Amino acid sequence: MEGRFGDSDLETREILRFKEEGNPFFNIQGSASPNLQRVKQIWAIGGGKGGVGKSLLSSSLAISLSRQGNKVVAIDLDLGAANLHTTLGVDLPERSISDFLSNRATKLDECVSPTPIPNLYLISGAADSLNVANITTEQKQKIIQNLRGLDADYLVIDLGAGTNINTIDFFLFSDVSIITLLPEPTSIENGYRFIKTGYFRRLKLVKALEPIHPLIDAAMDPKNSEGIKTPADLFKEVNRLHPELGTKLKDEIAKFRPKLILNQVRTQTDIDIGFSIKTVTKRYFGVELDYLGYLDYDSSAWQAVRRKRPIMIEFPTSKVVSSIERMAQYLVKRHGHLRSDL
Amino acid sequence: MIEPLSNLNLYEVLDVAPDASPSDIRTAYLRVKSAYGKDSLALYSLVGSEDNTEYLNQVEEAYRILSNPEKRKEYDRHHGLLLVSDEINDGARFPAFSDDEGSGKIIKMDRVPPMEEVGGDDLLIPPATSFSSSSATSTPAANTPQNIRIQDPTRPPPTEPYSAPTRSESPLSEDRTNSQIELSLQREIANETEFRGSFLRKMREARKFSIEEIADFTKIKRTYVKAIEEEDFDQLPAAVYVRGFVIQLAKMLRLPHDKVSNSFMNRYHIAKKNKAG
Repeated sequence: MEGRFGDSDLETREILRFKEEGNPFFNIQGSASPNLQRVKQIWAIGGGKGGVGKSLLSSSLAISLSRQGNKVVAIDLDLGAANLHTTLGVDLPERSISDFLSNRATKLDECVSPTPIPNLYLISGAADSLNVANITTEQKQKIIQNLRGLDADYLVIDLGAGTNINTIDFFLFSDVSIITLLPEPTSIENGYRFIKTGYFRRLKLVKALEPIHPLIDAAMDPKNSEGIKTPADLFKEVNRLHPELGTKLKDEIAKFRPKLILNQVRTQTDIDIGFSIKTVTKRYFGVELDYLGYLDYDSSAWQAVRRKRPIMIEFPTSKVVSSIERMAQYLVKRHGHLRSDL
Repeated sequence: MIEPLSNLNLYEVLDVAPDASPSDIRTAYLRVKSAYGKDSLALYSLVGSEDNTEYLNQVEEAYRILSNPEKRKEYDRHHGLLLVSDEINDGARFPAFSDDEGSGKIIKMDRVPPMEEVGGDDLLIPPATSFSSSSATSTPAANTPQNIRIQDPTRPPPTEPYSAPTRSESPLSEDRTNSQIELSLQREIANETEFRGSFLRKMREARKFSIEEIADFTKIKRTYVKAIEEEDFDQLPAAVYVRGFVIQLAKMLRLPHDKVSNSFMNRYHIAKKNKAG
């Protein structure tokens, strides 16, 4: 049975490694760094499709968090297509995450650059080796294991487009995972794909669900011989073959609660699409999406990008900015206590 | 909700809490219908989403029962769902999830839709008379649809002290989004002076009523509702009836009914005069 994540040997090894070391996604044992508790929370912004506003939203949320008095490190993990620094109005930083990956920097701390915004720091993904887009599993682990050791209250991670396993794992590793979508078929298609990939990946990282991993693998391939087409089918199969794991599966699915932000909204119908996506996601995946809200289609966004300045600073009175501020405040208030590693 | 449909109760079909208010149920119903409609963008690319007929039928059935207070009460009794209060149609149902969110009072304050504050007097005055001539009183027994939709004069503004726990979670979704929209609607209404038929149509669509529903609730003929919206005065009956229709329509759409009817009737009279002269 072929997993969709490519090299299945590597895949298995990786999962086994997680088991030996304690699963870094859900149960860090505290061995990596004495500073482990410093980072309060990791936010990640993904979304499947490119051009849906991930970098813009990441930089804006990071700025908003720093304005609330938090020390924030914005991290560009859109490796190979990094431009978070541009949306933050920072010139190409000298240090980047590839220094850490290539061992030129021994600690992740050394890759942190300042920004003109008080309290806000950046780990750039730019100025890198052209190979950085293809990091190995070990390199991914290295990043994941060192993130929480950074000296910051919040980390805001800008993810790349697509459903590469590294992107998905960074998304799952974060405490608050945010999906940005546009009310367009292309974005929705990629968005569902992203949710689905994250969803199955998450289930596969749970040791207790090991007996049903073959079923999950099957479910990931739409042409599988078991006829599992939807998560609902998977659920049914699990209940039939491993009834004792049905509840566990349900619990694990319930823990996957990505947030949804609809971007570039033009009409009421567009806004309503967010609710529809929420309804449909619940029914088709059993996943409860939090529809955080929407951002209006606004020319200030591209104007800010053209000027290479953060929209938060360039257009402080725009509606988009006030919406983002409100979302950030809400997330801190409502989800500020969540830690996936505790 | 990845369980088979047959395992779901009516509330689960609509994805609402068993103590959802009538307006919550209506919102949920409209939401599900638009999410699973034929051209819904939200279904794009999903495997197994090609045919939702069965689900949509269940949704219609669920709404048919849950939107009718009598039937809902009966359903709840049969399924042991009645929690505290027997008064489904009474705005003051007990909070079933009061322990979920800490102090219910604070939430209550948060939940009062801002529209209630900015709407201006006219908008808040509940209808003095009933909308349908057939059931003129608003006793709990009068389970006509208007009781579900429109505020009872004796009742404070909707506070919804409970609802599905998830409802209050996000500032911009659900409640907040709705109240944002409501707020901008209220502003628009406050700035409106002419209240033309086209504006009435816009408001009707904003409040998500179909012409059929309006006709159903108010007992005004569909063709008249249409004619009012199109300002097709020839199609309308004598002034005295039209005035009553417009007032009912305005109340149902929560518009300042005296302003609406005055300006509308002005145009009506001018049109009739021009025709005669």
